[in-house]
This record gives sequence, structure tokens and C-alpha cells, in this order.
Amino acid sequence: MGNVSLQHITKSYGTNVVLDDLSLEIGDGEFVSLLGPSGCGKTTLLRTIAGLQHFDAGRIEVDGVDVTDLPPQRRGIGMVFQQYSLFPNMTVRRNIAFPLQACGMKSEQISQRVDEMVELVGLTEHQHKRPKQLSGGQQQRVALARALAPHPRMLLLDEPLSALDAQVRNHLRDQIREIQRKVGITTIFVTHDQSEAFALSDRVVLMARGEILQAAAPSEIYARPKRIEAARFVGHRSEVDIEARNGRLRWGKVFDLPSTFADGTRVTCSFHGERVRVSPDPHSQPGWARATVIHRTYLGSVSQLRLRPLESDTEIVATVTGTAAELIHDDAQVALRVDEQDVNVYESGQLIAAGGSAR
Amino acid sequence: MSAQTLSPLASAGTTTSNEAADSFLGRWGALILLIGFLGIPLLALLVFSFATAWSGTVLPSGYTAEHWIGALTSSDVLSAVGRSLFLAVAVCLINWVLVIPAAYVSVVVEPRIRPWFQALSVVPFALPWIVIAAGMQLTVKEIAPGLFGTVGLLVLTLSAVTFPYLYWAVENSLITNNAKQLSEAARMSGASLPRTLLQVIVPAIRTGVMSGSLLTAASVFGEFPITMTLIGGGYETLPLWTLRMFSGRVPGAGAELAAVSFATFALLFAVSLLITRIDTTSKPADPVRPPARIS
Amino acid sequence: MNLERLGRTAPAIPLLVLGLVCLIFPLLVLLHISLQVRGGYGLDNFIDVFSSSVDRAALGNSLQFALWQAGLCVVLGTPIALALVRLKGRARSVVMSFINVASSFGGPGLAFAFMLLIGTTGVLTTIWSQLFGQADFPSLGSMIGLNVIMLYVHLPLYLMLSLPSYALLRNEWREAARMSGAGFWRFWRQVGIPTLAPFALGNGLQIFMWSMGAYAIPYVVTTSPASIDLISIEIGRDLESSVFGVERAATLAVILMLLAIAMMWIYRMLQRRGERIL
Repeated sequence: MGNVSLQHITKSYGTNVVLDDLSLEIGDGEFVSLLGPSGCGKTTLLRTIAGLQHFDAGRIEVDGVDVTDLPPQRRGIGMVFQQYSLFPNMTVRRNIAFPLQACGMKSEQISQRVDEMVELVGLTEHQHKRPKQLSGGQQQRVALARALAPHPRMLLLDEPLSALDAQVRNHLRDQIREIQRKVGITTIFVTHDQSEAFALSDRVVLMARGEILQAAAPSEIYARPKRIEAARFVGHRSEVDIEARNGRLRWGKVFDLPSTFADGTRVTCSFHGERVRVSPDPHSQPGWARATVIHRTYLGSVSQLRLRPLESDTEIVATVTGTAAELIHDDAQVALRVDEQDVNVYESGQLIAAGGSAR
Repeated sequence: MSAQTLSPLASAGTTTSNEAADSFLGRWGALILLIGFLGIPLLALLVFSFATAWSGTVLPSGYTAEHWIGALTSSDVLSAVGRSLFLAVAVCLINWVLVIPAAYVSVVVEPRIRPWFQALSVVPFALPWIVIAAGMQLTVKEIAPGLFGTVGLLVLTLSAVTFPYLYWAVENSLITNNAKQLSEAARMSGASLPRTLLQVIVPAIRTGVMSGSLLTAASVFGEFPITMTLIGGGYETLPLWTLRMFSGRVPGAGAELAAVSFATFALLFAVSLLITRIDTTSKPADPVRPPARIS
Repeated sequence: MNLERLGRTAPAIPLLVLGLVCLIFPLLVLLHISLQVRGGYGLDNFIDVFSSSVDRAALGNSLQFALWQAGLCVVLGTPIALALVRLKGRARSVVMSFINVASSFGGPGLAFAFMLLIGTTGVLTTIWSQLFGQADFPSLGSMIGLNVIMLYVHLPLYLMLSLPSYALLRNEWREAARMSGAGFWRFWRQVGIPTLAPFALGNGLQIFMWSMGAYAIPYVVTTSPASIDLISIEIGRDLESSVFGVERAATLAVILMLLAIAMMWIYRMLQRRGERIL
């Protein structure tokens, strides 16, 4: 139930390739996010699965059945849009009942099911109101209830939280995950917000320019982004170009990795801000590199330090927690080190070695 | 909607969003019918204007350009057009002088006065113009009988009934162009009120003024009930000329009428296309605003 | 303080004066005249009008005509407006300009064009009689004839009024309905029509009111004895000749005026209804 197979989906508008030979398998009950910047094709792909968007080549199978030519209303899919999902002339109850009427359920059954759904999303006191009388978050909850009411095989959500205020967003995000776990339905969620995708998903599908950069669990993408642009999209990372020498990749005293490359090869080394070890007292760490603090951005729980190692022109970003950061000011000198297991090595944009070992 | 309803053969057609409304006939059929209905009378006018004689047959017996030449050189036509143009220009001028300051005050200076103008604007829009014409005639005959039948009275009345077109356009333009903030910025920079108006506000609302004026002019150009009632045959505007051609038994009048009517339509069409090029700032979503009307 | 305020609103006064003098005052005069009876004020004029069969007929014709126009516009105009909303770009501006001009084309020229088509020696009449034998098309001034001609002007007007509200129909509703398993008809029945109804009715009402005041075309086509009388034309006739005296003209005008006010009030109510949902 709810297995989705996308095979070689391609869509272009003239010379602009929006979906570039995409293939993806999604398992039953999985929560998958399509994550990427605007224009990467994630919404187009979602709408393709929904049946609202034509495509030029490829196949979509749901539970082994080819649905490529099936109109949206026959696909058994529930969908939540970014906004304006609800029918303005109907109350919450009637909105939720709508798909149930469309498939010819009996009215007592409909009423019962609507009661269930209203309770599931926690809107019992508001069930007789019209969309105009509800807040944005409440409207989206109704949209969710309506999508789930007819026991769909799959749930699609197109940036449902993007139009909401930050606080409402987080609350609703958690609710969505809770409901999804409870119902156990295969879910595909489109967002441009990395933290949202990570918080919700079993797997994240990272997209850019119509292709899939990587499809993996959030922790995997975070630790080992397969492409350099994926790395740039996920978390605060620093990059430095290093030339392999004497079988090692070494950046001064900052880090020193074994290299599997021929000497002279230029690679990009990438590491997370929070993996950069910083000591405010350079003298206590003689083996570490020295760096100048270009700027400290105080964010409350953490601070971001822009550092420039003394022997280099490259600036990197280190993320340090509050108390340690308070001791560090602009123009100070600090000691700096990155452990070899925290460095990912990229050649021509591809991940070659991660954490000091080859892929 | 359960899993059992999913069946690969159960859909219609090869496209995923195939529905009645999207099919060629559904989408274009209604439009084709509309264009046909609107276009055929025009076609009839065009053909007739080039015909030597056309009565009781499917197509005219012969073609000639003399009706067009006659119409375009006829002194009657030219004077009628001249009078209509004069009215249109005069009404526009009066409306500019009266409406623009009023709209400015309404939006920027004293918003409390706005409901008054909004109420006034409704009058020519809700009431048939023959009623207004009747009122005007009876009023003037009672109070100032010397004014009846004068062009001045006609111009004044036409200005009154067409002011909403310009008013709505200017008001809209003032709002979308943030006239209030512009004025404040100008005043803070030390400009006097007249200078603010002339150098800051009027340039900003130029397109609004133009589109409103074009609507006003078109409306005046084809206006019938008020002209007929307040002046009648004594001041033959273009609509009054068409009336005479229609009911009179002048030979060749029909063909000239057809030529002039078609030319009028073509001209208005060209102007309208021009307006849509210029007026990109006005909101299309203004349900209260009526289009120019004649009858 | 108050004087300063008055000074600042001074530029708006001339327009206000024009409106009061040319729009409001004449209407009050009409009201005054219509209520004039021998010896003071009274409703005798209105009673006379309503007891005269000729006047009742004219009023009835006008109402019937206006109702037809409104109904035809709503029924025919709605699917056309739907098709128009989907139109984009060049095609759209051309069609819109065409419609715009058509709506202001309502004069003797248009009447003449229809005479060429469906008059006694018209093209369509001729074609019809050649195909099917003697044609007996209704005359231009009859109820049917007038409806056909005025539709040329009113349908485009209706379309222009409708388009802004049709733009309010969100694509998302359509898509949500499809995802919920609803097809074309169900969506329109349960969402589309209920949402648009207040606006469609309001626009139909406007067409009704404009039809009540139709003047130029009826003026030229209702001169023959076979044609119907309309109240707007009656007013004009009374003003031109003085057979019936000014009271009748004023009375008829006031009746139209009151009708217009009532329509306006209903229209406002419908607008508010529509805005409550959207």
C-alpha cells in the first residue's frame, strides 16, 4: 500500500529542462521530503505525481500499477496546497466531507468520518466555521483533514507551512509528523526549508536544477553530502581548496588527512562549522593552527565566528556555543583545529572521501 | 475513495487532465460564438458600405468606394465629428480641472470627504441617463429657460455624468502610486502645494488620467439621450447625425451611415488597444467600475 | 482649526457643486414635479400612470425586456467569461478591446447593421427564405428583435463586469477538488457556482438596470407600430412634445429612479454577501 515508483520522469518547457530523467522509489509509510531551492523542480515533480502536471517522458507506478494516464481524481491521493486550499463557501465539516461525497459514501458514514478527522487535527470547536474565520494554521489543518478523510494511499504536501508565521509553522510541523505516524500513510513533502525537511522526514530528496542530488536519511545527507552543492545547501560548512602533496591533504595545522589522490590534484575540503574546534587561548593548544577572528556574530545559544588562519587567505566559519564564545572577541587570536573524520573531500563536485576514509 | 477504485483502464483519454472544459470545443467554442455574434454585424456594415446596391440578395450587386469618399468628405459628417470632438475635449478639460484636485483632496488631504464623491459617482452609474436628462431639462426650463438648448449646458451636464470615469481612474492611480507618501516627502523637502501637485503628483498619475480621459471622451463621443434631450437636432453631434441618416430617406444615407459606423468602431478599437498598452497600472479587478456606455 | 480644514478641502468643492447642481438637484426637481397635483402635493400623477393601460404596458415591456437581457447575459455570459479568463496575452487584449468597443457601440449604426442582417430585405432573411421558404423574422422593434440587438451591447458589458470576479476563483480550489475526487460538474455545482453566484447575480442586476434605461437603439427601432413601447422612450417622447405635460415625464422618470435605487440597494447587499465568503 502506498509504494511509489518514479521512472525516468522528464519535463521541459522549450529548452528549459525542469525535470531531468528523475527516478525515485518510495516505500510504504515513508515520509519523504523534496528539498531544494526555488526552481529546482520539486513542486513540478510533486504535481506530476498528483496528476496535475503533464510530463514528456517516463512512468509513474503506484503499488505496481501504472498511473501515468490516470486523472488526478482517480489516483487516490490526498493533497495539501500552500494556501487557498479550502473551499470558501463551505464550513470545515463540509470541506472535509467533500471528497467523501465525491466517492459516494453514505451520509451517516460521512458524518462519522468527519468527526474522526476533525478530532484528529484538533479542530472540534471550530468545525462549523468557514475558512475566512480561521487562521492560516487552522486552515491548513482542515486541508490536511480533508486530504486524509477518504483513506488515500498517499499524501502530498506542497510547502504547506511556507505561508505561515514562524511559531505556527513549527507547531504545525510537529503535528503533521505526529498525524502521519499515527495514520502510517506514505507522505511526500515539498519544502525549501532544510530544518523542516530534516525534522519531518525518513528520507530527504535533495534536488537542484531538475535533478536529484541525493536521496538519503537526513543524518546521512548532513554528514556526507554526495555533491558539493548539496553540501552548500545543508548547514553551515566551510570550504577550502587543497592540493594533494606527499600522499596527504594538509591545510597548515588546521587539518591533515591521508590522501588517495595523485600528488598535485586539487580538491575541495568541506567541514561543518560546529566541527571546528576553537580554543580562545592559543597557548594552551600548541599543535593547533592560529587564526584571527574577523567577526563574531552572536546568536544567543550559539555564536558564529568568521576565522582566518594566519597562514592562509581563506576564511572559514566556526560555530561555538554561548559560554565559550563570550570569551572570544573580534580581532582576537584563537587556536583552531579540525579532526580528520570531520572533513569531506570533494573532487569535481563529487564526494570522494568522507571522514578520512574513501567512499 | 478506496484502493479498489484504482484501475489503469478506468480513465478517459490519454492526458491526465482531460476534461470537457479543456477540450478544444469547450475552450474555444464559446469564444468563437461570441466573436461571430459581435463580428457579423460589423461585416455587414463593411460590405454594405462598399456596395452599390444591396437589397434582397445575399451579396451586393456591385462594389464602389464612392460612399466612403462621400462620407469622409461630406461636410455634414465632418461638422458632426467636429462637434463631437469639441464636446469630448471640452468635457475632458472641465473634468481635469474639477476632478483631479477633488480626487487629490479625497485621497491625500481629507479622506473624510471621500464618501461624498463615492456617493456622487454612483448616480450616473445607477440611473439611466435619460432620467438625468429629463431632470436637467425640466429644471433648466423652470429656473433658467435661456440656458436650455445651449452647448454650455450640454457640456456641463456631460461633464457631470462622465466625471466618475476620470475620478475612479485618478483615485485608483493616487492610491497605487502612494500619493500620500509622495506628498509628504515633497513637503518635507520644502515644496509648496502647487509645486507638489505639478511636479510630483500629476506626473505620477499620468497614466490614470489618460485612461480615465479616454473613457470619458469615448463616452461623450457616442452619447445620445442627454444630447438629444437638451439640444436635439440644433447641434448635430455624430450620434445625432447617425440618427438622421437612419430615419431620413436620403438616398445613399445608409451606405454612408454604414461607412461611418464601421470607421467609428475601427477607430475605437485601435484606441482601446492603445489604452491596454499604456494602462498597465490600473487594477482590472474593480467590480464597481462600469465601462463607457452610450445608451 | 476648522476654517483651515475647510480651506484645505476647497479644491474639492467645485466638483461637489457640479455634482449637486447637475446630478442631485435635477432629481429633486423631478420628484417635486411628479408630486405636483392641483392644489399642492399628492400621488395623483402616479395613480394616473398606473391606471393608464398604455403606461402599464410600457412599464411591463421595459421590465420584461430588462429581465430577458439580464437572464440571457447571465446564462450566456458565464461560460464565455470562463473561457475568457483562461485567455492570456495578445489574444486576450485583442478580444477584450473588441468587447470593450462593442459595449459602447449601441447607436443607430448598430441598429442599421442588424437591419442589414435581419430586416425585411436583410442578408440572413434572404438566405433563410432561399433555404427554407418565406422567412418571418421578428421586426427589430419587437421584444425579440430588441433583445437580439441589445444583447450585442449588454453581453460584452456583462463580460467586462464578470471578469474581475471570475479572477477571484482560485486555481487551488479546482485542483483541490480534483484531488478530492470531484470532476468538472461536481466542482461547479458545489464550489464554483455558489461562490460566484452573488457576483453573477449582482452583475445581472446591473444589466437589468441598464436595460431599463436603454435609449438610443430603442429610439430608432421602436418607431413602427409593430414595435413595443419602453418606459425610457416614453419619457423622451414626453419631453419632446408637450401633449401630456411635464408631470407625466417626471412621474415616469421618478418611477425609474426609485427602481434604480432599489436595484442599487439589492446590488450592495449581494456584493457584501459575496465578500463575506471571499
